[in-house]
Amino acid sequence: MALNRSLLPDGGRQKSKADFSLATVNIVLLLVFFFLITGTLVETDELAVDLAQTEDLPLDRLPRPLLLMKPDGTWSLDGLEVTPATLLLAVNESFERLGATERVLHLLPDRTLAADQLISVLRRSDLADVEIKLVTLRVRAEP
Amino acid sequence: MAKVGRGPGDVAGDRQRRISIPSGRNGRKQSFALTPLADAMFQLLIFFMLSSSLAPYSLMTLTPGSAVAAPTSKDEQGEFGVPTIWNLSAGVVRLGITEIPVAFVQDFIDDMHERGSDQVIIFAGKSAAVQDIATVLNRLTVAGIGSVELISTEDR
Repeated sequence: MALNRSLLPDGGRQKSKADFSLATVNIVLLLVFFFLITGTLVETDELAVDLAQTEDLPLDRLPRPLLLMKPDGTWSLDGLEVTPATLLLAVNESFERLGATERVLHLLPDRTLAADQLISVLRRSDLADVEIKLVTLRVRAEP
Repeated sequence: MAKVGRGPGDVAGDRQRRISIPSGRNGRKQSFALTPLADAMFQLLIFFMLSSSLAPYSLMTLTPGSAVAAPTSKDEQGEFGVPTIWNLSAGVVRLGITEIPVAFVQDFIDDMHERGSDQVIIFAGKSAAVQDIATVLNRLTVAGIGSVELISTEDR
């Protein structure tokens, strides 16, 4: 005999609501981990410059301290305005603040900046004991 | 009618009636509220999405700083060969009277390898930009050129 289930009493049981909170938290947590691992915290100004592009160098994160060299010729070190005269002091303070064991300064120049301005930083005698690295944007090589 | 007083035994009886130990069968099952946790996680997610950059950066060493490498056997024996002098201007590299676009600087590097030269001196002209230097240095780094010297027009 076929039973019509809808006519049968449900025994007082309530339908359990599906709870998606735990699944949501899991997914969002994974996204947070993704951005923590792959992303780099940046200042707004640092995203404004068009970086020089390279093809073959290995990928890296945006490190600190970071000297932003804007197209108008102004500089900022980790978001603070600096001048050529105050650069060394600001760099040393930045090394102390970061507790850096290696004295490495990273340059973030606009790609249209004159090469002379970049070389003038490299030639500074007061930065002779500081390793200087150029930050570039890696683009995919054209086939 | 005599007033009946409550003895110590009666108080104890009241207490016994008030204390109820949850049986775990009749009471509703308490669940942990996850909504505030989800809210906090979303706040963190939005913060990291807005404040971080996923751009693929690369680093190129320009000066060694205090960690200057010890002289190699090539340095001691002068095996870098005759230095090659390039003149760099906007988008163009010149070697002698030959000019090629910066994108094709690999031709000059191949020529250096054929001549056994492993040292380049680059004169950056006033019209040269950071992008030109980055392109040339990128190719030289990949080619494993041992010694590169950058000189600006102000130095001449």
